[in-house]
Amino acid sequence: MKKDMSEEKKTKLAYTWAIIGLASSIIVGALTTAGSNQVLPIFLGAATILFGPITAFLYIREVKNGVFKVEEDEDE
Amino acid sequence: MVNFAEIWSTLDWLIIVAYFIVIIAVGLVMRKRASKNMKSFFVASRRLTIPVLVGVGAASWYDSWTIVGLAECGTTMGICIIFIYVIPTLILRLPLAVWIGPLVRNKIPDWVITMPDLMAYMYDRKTKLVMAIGMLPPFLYEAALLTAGGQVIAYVTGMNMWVAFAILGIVIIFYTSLSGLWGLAVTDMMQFVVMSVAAGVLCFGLYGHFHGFGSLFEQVGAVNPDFMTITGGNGFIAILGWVISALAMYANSQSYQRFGSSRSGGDIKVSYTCIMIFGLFFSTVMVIAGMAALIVYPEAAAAAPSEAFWGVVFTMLPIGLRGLFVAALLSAVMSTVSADYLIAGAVVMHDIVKSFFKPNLSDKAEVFGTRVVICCIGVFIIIATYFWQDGISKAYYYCGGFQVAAFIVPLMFGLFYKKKTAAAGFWSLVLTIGAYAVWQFILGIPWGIPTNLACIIFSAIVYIVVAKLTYKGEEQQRTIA
Repeated sequence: MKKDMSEEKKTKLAYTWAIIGLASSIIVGALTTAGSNQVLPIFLGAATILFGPITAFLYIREVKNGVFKVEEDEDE
Repeated sequence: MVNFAEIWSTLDWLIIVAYFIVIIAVGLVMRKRASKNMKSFFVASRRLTIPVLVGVGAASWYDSWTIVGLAECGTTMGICIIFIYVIPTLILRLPLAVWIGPLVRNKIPDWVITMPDLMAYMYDRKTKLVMAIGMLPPFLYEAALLTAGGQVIAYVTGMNMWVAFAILGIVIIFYTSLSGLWGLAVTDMMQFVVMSVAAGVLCFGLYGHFHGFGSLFEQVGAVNPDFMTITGGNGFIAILGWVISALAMYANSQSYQRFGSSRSGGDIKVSYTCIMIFGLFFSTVMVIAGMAALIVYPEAAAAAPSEAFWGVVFTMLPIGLRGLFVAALLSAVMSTVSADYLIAGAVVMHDIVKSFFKPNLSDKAEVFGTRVVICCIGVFIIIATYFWQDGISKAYYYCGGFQVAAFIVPLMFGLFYKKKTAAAGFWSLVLTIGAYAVWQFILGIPWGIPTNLACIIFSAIVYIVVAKLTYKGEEQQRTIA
């Protein structure tokens, strides 16, 4: 199985995502109040449409790395 | 109004049928893996990693309330719902992702797999029993979710709504009872992808129809200027009520089950912060689609906002993608309902029957019993759809409001309050359950103070007072023991 990321790295990554989340809130809020015509729909549409497939790609990679296989081995 | 059945194509049908077949097949494939023991069935042997957690977390957190409910809010309240609910949801839930989830996963012993188990660990068995019993009524919310899903099937197929509720309910019972969280780890991911793509396509559909969002916002502002303001004309107390409802996930049993299923605390931190960003985008799209319903179908929006929302979905999306969007709604319903069936089964079998009546029950028997309970609860929920015919918002208000009002203080204080006592946990839980009923139904929400806010304050006061009174006594007992 592929080596896992360390807990420290995961924490750093989580804080980065948290900052991205807060920044996204400000962007969405500002664009909505400003009545954004083009940027808001393109930003929202692109972000939403890509989120699932990118996660699915990473998920398939995890499956190949054995996230389910571990349990099979334990069963044997 | 749009004739849904007329524009529903064969391709849309094929997408829905294929979707159901795949979901059932996953249940069958994952059955063996989930049958080992309760840890395997309920928390997937604590093996789930970041991308898997993103799928199971997002699909279960964002349900038909996030789609139809927020769209209804967009129709009836305008952009303010983004500022008083959607954005606060992201901000207020960050501590849950970054601190509380990892704390629960890393510091809590292995035998704690459900929320009542957590109460037993932090307080005592008496509090566990009250929590287990208190968790059962909010499961009626599943009936509202099922109603939202069944209504869509009925709209597009013209079939009897009750038949639609039954079909949807039976499919969920089938794959959940067979495969437990192992199955949901696969189906939730598929459902999450469908939800994500469908929301993105809808956003671009709205963009194409209105040639940008500018003209949509202008038209909404012309209908009601308040709809384009940050507060939407709501008072401070009403806004506070909405903001507090964003805290519901702190008291949500699904959250704690997902935390327990992760491989490590770090996985929770990363995955749940990602989920919240997705939630921000996804929810905002639904609110704006609801606003579009107000413009495209003004009469229908006044009579039945959810019907107007589906009208927008069906007119703005091309053939095939309509099927995908209906599949997204069904995904949202099924992923949340299936997760809660799983939890309801565990609460009854693991937390009540095994803990208090049959302590010697074997692992296999416990899993079997949980499956039987899931089937029974599933049938009951299909029948209970009768109570939620008038919209999902009401169900979210009562069931979500009750959870956050009654459970949040004993949960959070139990995790972080240094002078916690078993008596404080027990009495704050018991008295707040009673206080919720009194404030909401007997007093009729006096002074307009939302029940969730009043109950959280009451619960915190009870907790601190009882803890002060009992801390020394319990400390002495612990020292003697």
